[in-house]
Amino acid sequence: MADDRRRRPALAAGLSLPAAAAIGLGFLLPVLWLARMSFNPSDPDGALREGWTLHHYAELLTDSFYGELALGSLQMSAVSTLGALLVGYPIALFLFRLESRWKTLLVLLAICPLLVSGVVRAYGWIVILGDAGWINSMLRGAGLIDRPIRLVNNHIGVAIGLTESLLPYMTLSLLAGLGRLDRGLEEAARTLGASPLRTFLRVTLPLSLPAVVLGCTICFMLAISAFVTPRLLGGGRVFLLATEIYEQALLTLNWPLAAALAVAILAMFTLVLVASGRLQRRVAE
Amino acid sequence: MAPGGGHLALAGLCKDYGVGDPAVDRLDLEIGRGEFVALLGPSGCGKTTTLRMIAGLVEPTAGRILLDGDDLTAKPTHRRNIGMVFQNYALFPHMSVADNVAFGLEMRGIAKAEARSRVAEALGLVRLGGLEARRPKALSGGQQQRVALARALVIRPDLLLLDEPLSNLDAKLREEMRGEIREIQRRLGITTVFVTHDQAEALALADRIAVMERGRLAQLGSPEEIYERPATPFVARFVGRVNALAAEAGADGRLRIGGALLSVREPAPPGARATVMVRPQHIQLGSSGGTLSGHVTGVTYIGDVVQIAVAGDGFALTAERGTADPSWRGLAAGQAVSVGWPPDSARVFPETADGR
Repeated sequence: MADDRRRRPALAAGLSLPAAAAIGLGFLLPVLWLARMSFNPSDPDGALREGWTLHHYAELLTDSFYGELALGSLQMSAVSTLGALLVGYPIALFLFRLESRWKTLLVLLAICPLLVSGVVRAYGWIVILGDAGWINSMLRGAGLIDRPIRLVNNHIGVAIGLTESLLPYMTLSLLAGLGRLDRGLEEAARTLGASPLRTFLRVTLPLSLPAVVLGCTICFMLAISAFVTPRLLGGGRVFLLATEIYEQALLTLNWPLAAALAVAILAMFTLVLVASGRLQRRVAE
Repeated sequence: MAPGGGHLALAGLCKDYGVGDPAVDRLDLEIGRGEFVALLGPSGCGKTTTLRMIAGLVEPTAGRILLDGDDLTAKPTHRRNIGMVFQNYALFPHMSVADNVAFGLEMRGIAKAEARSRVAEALGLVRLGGLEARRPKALSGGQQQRVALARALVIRPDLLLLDEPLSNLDAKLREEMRGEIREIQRRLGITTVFVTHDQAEALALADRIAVMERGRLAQLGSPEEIYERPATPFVARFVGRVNALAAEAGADGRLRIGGALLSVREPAPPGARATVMVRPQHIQLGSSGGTLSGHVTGVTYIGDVVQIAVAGDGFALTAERGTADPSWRGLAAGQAVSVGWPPDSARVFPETADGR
C-alpha cells in the first residue's frame, strides 16, 4: 500500500485536487481578497475606494475601543472554553471508559446539540435565563429574590450560551485525544498505593493533557469567532470582535475596517495555533 | 502443606459476571509465606480474574481473601500493599524510569532521599542501573519488564502478583527473565502469585502449581505431582504432551485396546470405558515384547527430540526420544513396531469419573 502510494505521486496529487481546489477557491482566495480589502481606503460615509492605506490598522492599534474589544473577546473565549472543559472533561472521560452497547448512542447524545441551529439554541437560553425565564421564575416562586437576576443581555448570558455551544466540540476533541489513556496505567497506580484522587492527578490528568490542549484550542478559536450567540444573548450590550465586524460590515458599511478586524482575528488564530502546537509538544512528552 | 503456613488464603472465592458460567467458582487456595504459586490454565479459566481479585481490581461476588488472617476483601486496592506486574507492564509513559519506580514510595510519603536510595537499590536488583532518566518507550521489552518488576518490589509489598509478565518477550529473553524472576523472588522471600498459560513457565518457576479449569481448581500440587500424577485428563493434557488412548475394561476390570491387554497399575470398573494417558517419552518401541503392535506412520525430527508417530488397531500415539538416544535411528514409516510402557507411567481415567 505505502509503496504503491510512493510510486504514484501523480495519482496522489490527482486525488487531492478536488479538496485543494475547494480550499483554494472557497477559503484561501476569499481570505486574500479580504486581506487586500483591509488596505483599501474608505470614505467617511463608508464607501470603499481604490488605493492602499494603513489607516484601518492604525485605527485598530490607536483607538482604545478596539483594544478593549480584543481583550473582552479573549476573556470571553477563555472563560467559555474553560467552562466547556470543566463540563466536558467528566463527560468525555465517562464516555471513553464506558464499555456498553449504549456507548455509541450516548456519544451521539453528547454531540446532538450540533443538530440544532445556534440561533434556536440561543433563543432557548433566553427562555431559560430571561427576566421572566424559568430560573428567575423559580427563584421568585421560592421567595429567594424580589427582582429578577440579569442572566441575559450581558456577559453572563453570553458566557453560558457560548459554553453550551462549545460543549459538543470539547467533548468530541477530548474523546478523540484520550487514546493514550490506558485503564491498566490507572490500575497500576492503584496497586502502587495511589488513592483514586491521586491516581487521577498523577496519571489520568497528565496523560489526558494532549486531549485537553486539543479541545481547548478548537473551542477557543470557535469562541473567538462566534457571532450568533454573543449577538443574541448579549442583546447588543456585549461588544466583541465578531459582533463588531458585523456592525462595521453590515450596519456602518465600512468594509475595509471590518476586513482589518477580520485579519486581526486571523492573526490571533495564528498565535493561538502556534502556542497550542508548542504546548502540545510539551505535554505529549 | 505450604511452607510457613497460610500467608495468603482464598476462601470460597467467586466471581460471576452474570453472563454464562462464573469466571471463578468457589476457589479455595492457601499460599505459604515466601511461596511461589503459579495459577495455570487456558485463557478464560479464571486465573487472571483470581489475580485481579487478590489485587482488589475486581470485586468478588462471594468469598474472602485473607492475608495473615486479616480480611482484605473489602479493602481498596491502594491500601493492600501489593506489588503487581502487568502483562503489558503498564509503565507510566509520562514519567522517567526513576519516577516510575519511585511512584509507590511517593504515594507512601517516603522522604525524597530515602526514596532515591531505594529506587537505586531496586534498579540494581533488576540490573538496570544507569537508565534512571530514560522514558519507558526508549527501553526494550525486557528492560520495561525489569522496570515494572523494580516498581512492584521497591514498595516492599506483602505480595507480589505477576500477570503473564513474560508473554510479551521473545523466547530467549523469556527464559532468561524466568530465571531472574525466580532468583529475585527467592532472595527477597516474597510470597508470589504468578498467572500464566504457559505450562513450561509454571513448571520451571513455581513451588506449587494451581491448575485452573473453567473457574475451578483442577489440581494443586508441586510441578512433579502435576506433571507425573495429573488428577484429571484436563490437567494431563494441559501440562506437557500426552497420549490419550481409549480403552475398555473387560469383566475382570483389566483394560484392553482391541484384544491387547494394557499394562496399567489401576484397575477400572468392569465394562467401563477409560482413557489411558501416557507421556510420549515413556512410550517404549521395540521389535517385540510390547503390549500393542502397530506400525510407524511418521518420524519428525525437531532438534533436541524426535517424535515417532505410531498407529495400530484402535490406537494412535506419539513416542518421543532425545536425539542423543540412537534407538530411533533406522525407524521409518511403514515399519512394524511393538509398543509398550512401564505400568507406573500410565494414568487411567475411567469415563464416569471424568464426567465429560
